[in-house]
Amino acid sequence: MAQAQREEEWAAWMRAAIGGDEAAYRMLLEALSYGLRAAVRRGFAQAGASLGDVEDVVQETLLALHLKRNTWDPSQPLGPWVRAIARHKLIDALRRRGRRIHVPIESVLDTLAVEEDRSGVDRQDAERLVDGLRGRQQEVVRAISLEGQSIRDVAQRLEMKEVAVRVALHRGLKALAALHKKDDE
Amino acid sequence: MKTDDLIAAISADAKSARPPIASIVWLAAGAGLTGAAMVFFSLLQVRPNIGEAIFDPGFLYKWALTLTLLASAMFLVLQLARPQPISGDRLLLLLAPVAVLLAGVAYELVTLPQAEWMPTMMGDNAVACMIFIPLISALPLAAFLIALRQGAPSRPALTGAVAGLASTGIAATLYASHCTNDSPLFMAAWYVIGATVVAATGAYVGARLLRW
Repeated sequence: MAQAQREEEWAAWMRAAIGGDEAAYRMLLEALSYGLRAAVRRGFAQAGASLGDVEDVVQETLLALHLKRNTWDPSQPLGPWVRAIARHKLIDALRRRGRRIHVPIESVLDTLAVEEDRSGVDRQDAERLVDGLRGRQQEVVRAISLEGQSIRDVAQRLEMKEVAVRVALHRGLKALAALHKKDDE
Repeated sequence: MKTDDLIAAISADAKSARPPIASIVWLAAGAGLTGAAMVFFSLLQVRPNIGEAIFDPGFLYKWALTLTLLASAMFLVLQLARPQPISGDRLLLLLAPVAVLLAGVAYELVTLPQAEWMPTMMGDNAVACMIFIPLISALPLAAFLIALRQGAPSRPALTGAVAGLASTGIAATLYASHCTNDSPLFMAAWYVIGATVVAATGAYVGARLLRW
């Protein structure tokens, strides 16, 4: 599929996601994660940083895409916005690892839409990050991510209202993004 | 945690979407204007002859300058709030208020005898101007910075500085209706100092507060 066509599909998914469509959102994030992984890996390789942290940056970028999605203008293409966020997070991650960035990062991110890296990667450290979440936030994030439960299931099991589960999930994701930053400093 | 697990959690949170960043920034501008007006009217008042002044080109020039600053800074803040890099030419927009200021100064230098340049520039309420403009800018700047935390600026310090200029635009528009000095030379000296203080504050706080 041509890149332009693919980006159009992504933009449609993102518009649906902003409207609350979880299935479209999931497809979008999965599609983006392959390209992100390849781009971050190349960026780290070019800067001589340890590839062991690649998945960490991919996850941090996905969280930023999520928490900052209101900065995308739905009348604009999605690709440049995704690349700008990915670039910001990649540069940030390399700086925190004490790498000087002398590689044009753009060249790494240019092909975000084309490259696909479907290797399923586990990230042990992220487990530790979830442990850093507090009480209910941790229970909810863990149940929905690691155990794959639905919001309704979690609400029933924890005897919470669904809206409270949603709030805990959202706050948990925000806290997770903050922990990513803190973890590297 | 596998990335797929994180994606499951993120997609379950799809319904948490916030209003578009542009709406948030506009809301901050409205709230900032309200706050600035409250501070202005509690400390100062509109000059008594405002009814005549609003037909006077010398007075209207001040609003032309402050509103050009407000419009160009506001336009840029709305772009800087997004992660995409902003092209250098866009920043040249900030030369618009500078051009208006320089045109006014040039006009005054041509029309005034040289002996009056210095006294005109010094005015008689320079200290008040320097104090009130930053003071009235404080609430709008705070509102902009809080709003911009919801954004994703790739250049936090620059974004904070331009938010400071937009705040100055609001404050100076209000203050100009109080100040009886309509001289461009006076504005070039004292309003500019006020704007610099507010922009520097915005840059300093922005560099810390707007990182993401």
